[in-house]
Amino acid sequence: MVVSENTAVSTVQAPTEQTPERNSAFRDGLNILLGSKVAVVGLCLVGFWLIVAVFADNCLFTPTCWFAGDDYEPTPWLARYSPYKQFSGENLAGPSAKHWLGTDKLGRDLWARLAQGSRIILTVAPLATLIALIIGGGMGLVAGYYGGMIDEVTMRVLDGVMAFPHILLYMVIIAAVGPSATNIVLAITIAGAPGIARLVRSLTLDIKTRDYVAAAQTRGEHPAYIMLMEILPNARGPIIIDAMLRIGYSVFAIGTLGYLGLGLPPPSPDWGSIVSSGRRLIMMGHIWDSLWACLAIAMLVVGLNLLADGIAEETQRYR
Amino acid sequence: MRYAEEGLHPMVQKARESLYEGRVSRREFIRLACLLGTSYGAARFLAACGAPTATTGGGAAAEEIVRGGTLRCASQVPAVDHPMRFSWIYDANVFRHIFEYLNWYDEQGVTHPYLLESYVPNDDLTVWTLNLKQNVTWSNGDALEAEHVKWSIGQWLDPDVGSSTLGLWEGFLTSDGVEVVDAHTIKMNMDAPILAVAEQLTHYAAPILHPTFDGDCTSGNNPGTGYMTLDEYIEGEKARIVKRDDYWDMGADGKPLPYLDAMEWYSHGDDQAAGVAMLKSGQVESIYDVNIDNFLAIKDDANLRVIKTPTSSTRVGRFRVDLDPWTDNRVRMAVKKCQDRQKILDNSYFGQGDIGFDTHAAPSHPEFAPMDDIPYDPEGAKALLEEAGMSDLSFDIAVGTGWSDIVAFAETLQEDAKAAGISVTLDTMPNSAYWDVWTEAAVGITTWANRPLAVMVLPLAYIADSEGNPVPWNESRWVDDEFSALLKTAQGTFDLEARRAIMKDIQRIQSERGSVFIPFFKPVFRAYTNNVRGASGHPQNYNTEWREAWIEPSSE
Repeated sequence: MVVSENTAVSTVQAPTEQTPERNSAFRDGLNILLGSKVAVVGLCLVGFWLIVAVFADNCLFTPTCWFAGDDYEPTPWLARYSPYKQFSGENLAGPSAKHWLGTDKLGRDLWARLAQGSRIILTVAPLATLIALIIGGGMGLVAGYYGGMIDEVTMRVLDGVMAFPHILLYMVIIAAVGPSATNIVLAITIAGAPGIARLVRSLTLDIKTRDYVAAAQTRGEHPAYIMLMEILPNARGPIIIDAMLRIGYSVFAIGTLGYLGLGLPPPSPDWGSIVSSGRRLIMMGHIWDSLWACLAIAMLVVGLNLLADGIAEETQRYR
Repeated sequence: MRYAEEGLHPMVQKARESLYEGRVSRREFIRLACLLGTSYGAARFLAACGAPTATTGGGAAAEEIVRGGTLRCASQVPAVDHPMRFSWIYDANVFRHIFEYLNWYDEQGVTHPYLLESYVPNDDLTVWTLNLKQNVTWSNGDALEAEHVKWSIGQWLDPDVGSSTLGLWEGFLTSDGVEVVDAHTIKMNMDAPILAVAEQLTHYAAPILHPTFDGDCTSGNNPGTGYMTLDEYIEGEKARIVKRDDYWDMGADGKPLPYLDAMEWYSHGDDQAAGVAMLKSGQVESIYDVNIDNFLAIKDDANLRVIKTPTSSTRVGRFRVDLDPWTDNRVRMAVKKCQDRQKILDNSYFGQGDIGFDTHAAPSHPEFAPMDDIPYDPEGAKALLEEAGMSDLSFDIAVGTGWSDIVAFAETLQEDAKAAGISVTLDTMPNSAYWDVWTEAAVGITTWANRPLAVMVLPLAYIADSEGNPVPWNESRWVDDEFSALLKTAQGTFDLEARRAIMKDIQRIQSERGSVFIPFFKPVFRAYTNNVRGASGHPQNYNTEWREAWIEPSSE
């Protein structure tokens, strides 16, 4: 489900009372999640890959691994093998006890690559979304709050960016700066920020007419304070839901870039690259590479969407 | 029949002795003899004389052949205008049946006279006399004359036409050097000795055109000497050529070639998988230049015949020897030792192809001197690096992601080099971007097409020009005096055995201190349905084999 601007505005909540207890806010959040069956299913799907990503090997728990690069060979846990180990003579094998999901063209274990790939996807996608959120959200807040020329100029520029089809925009950016994790984050940020800015601006336009904003203004609060402390927290519901969906889109974007050959350079096991290199093998009867990677992408994206749906549903009920 | 032995080049006589003593193979003998102007039939006769092996014969017995039918092919149908400006081999696929060539390079890698009756070099290879066949006629009824050929050669060499053929003759031949002796004889007066004339006359952008050529081969108004005439050509869609009734050469059944009534090409664009689907569903009988992925998809299909032809086309990993640390041969050798050649071949080309030895001379080259296996030796690599003070070597390698086998090659090297403490990073880019940097990147893997002879490819990329600068395609900047001197000798050595003796040293030098790592040479594939007969593959991927192809009618 895609949250349109209208429903987004309607879900804006009344100002919460200033409860300093974080615990209750956390409990509220948990209630929202667990209260919806849809959200629980989503959580399971996403949670599976989160667990796989964290426990694929011992790297996250071994400080020497963090900055060691190639010098440290992590011990595989859930992944069972290194995603780069080439089993000579076992190229293009189907699923077996030794290789649960089979092997790729170079004899590498597909499950190990998927597991390692989940770590890349679950780092790059949320990170790109977060940065897009910060930049787009900031622009939307400023444009919506000040209005006038600032609003006009900002939104027209962002409209200009949005006029480009996303895939074209990714290709232009990646082709200009070269494929790497950082640049993929950059491309997704640039493509995603305008949409977020639009959403946040419309929320801001609505919220800034509320009495508590007028009260803060008469108190003489700094505009930055009003935007960040009064408006933003009250717009969080739709923003969180939008962010969930956007993480899903980012997963797709990484997959798409990998498929176009603009993803992370080989031998990176990111899912898009696996689909892309596996595509060539389908015709010769080896469907496993593409199949598993597509299933993994679908699982994660569906999970995130269900999560967003569940949250939307529950927050609406809470009103 | 021209089996008289007088008039043979002295080297042919010598090669024949080698053949009898078992020092050269029959194929090599035929090849050398043809190179020096003996006709293919005569060469086969000479080779067969006294030798116990029967000639296998080319083509089917006359009674088997069935005339008629259309051979359809899934291929590209590219935008083209002037046949001398063809820039891809497949540009010539349709038109090579209409506009013919002076010589023909066959599926075995042997060059034969085609429109020529024979070609005769003088003893120092500076004057080549070309004798035309007497009976060749154009589709407009004219007879082929020496003036037509002179005009065509003039077009090859005219910078305004812009033919790649000009590059082949640059420094050897100008249009002033082309001399008409009589109606069927032409002399090429060279500025320098040249051995590869016969093979250069097969170049896909060097057809013989009628002087009335209107500049656009798709117009359908241009006479050709070929057995087909153009019916329609729609770029990106289809092309159709139909049989000419009065062709000058006869088939095995005594009637004029070709056996087929028509040939058609259907465009699959850049997506060959679509062509495979067309082939499998019976919409076409053939697919041109099957790539390795699609080869594996169809190799076990009982309705198809997939033909594999070994070539010297390859993937050349190369170091820029003018940049650190590649100036030090020990560092280059260390990386070369990290190649597990069989594994690289398995991973990148599914085990289809010949193992390479870090020299650009291929096992399929006639003058190739057999070499010992080079083992995978990470320990040796490590020791070399320590000696050079370069332990912890790490470097980037430029690869185009469109070549999936190159990516697999680089990934395998990357993994196997870890054991020697070498860290390799893949610098990936689209193929087009790779062609922007192919002579510039410090380390990269470049695709190289097939060349018939080792002495034709080595001078392109591993020597310096007369001013001492590396030649334009010397992507690694490697110039070695001993290598260059030996290569020069080899280029002027016609005796195959003697040339191979020199090649032994050339190959050793390039393998031991050269600038390239070449773990394999790749074959080319062509696929046909089972009812297509008389067709084969071609090492250059020239679409020449349809001239005598025919289609067996279905038994239903």
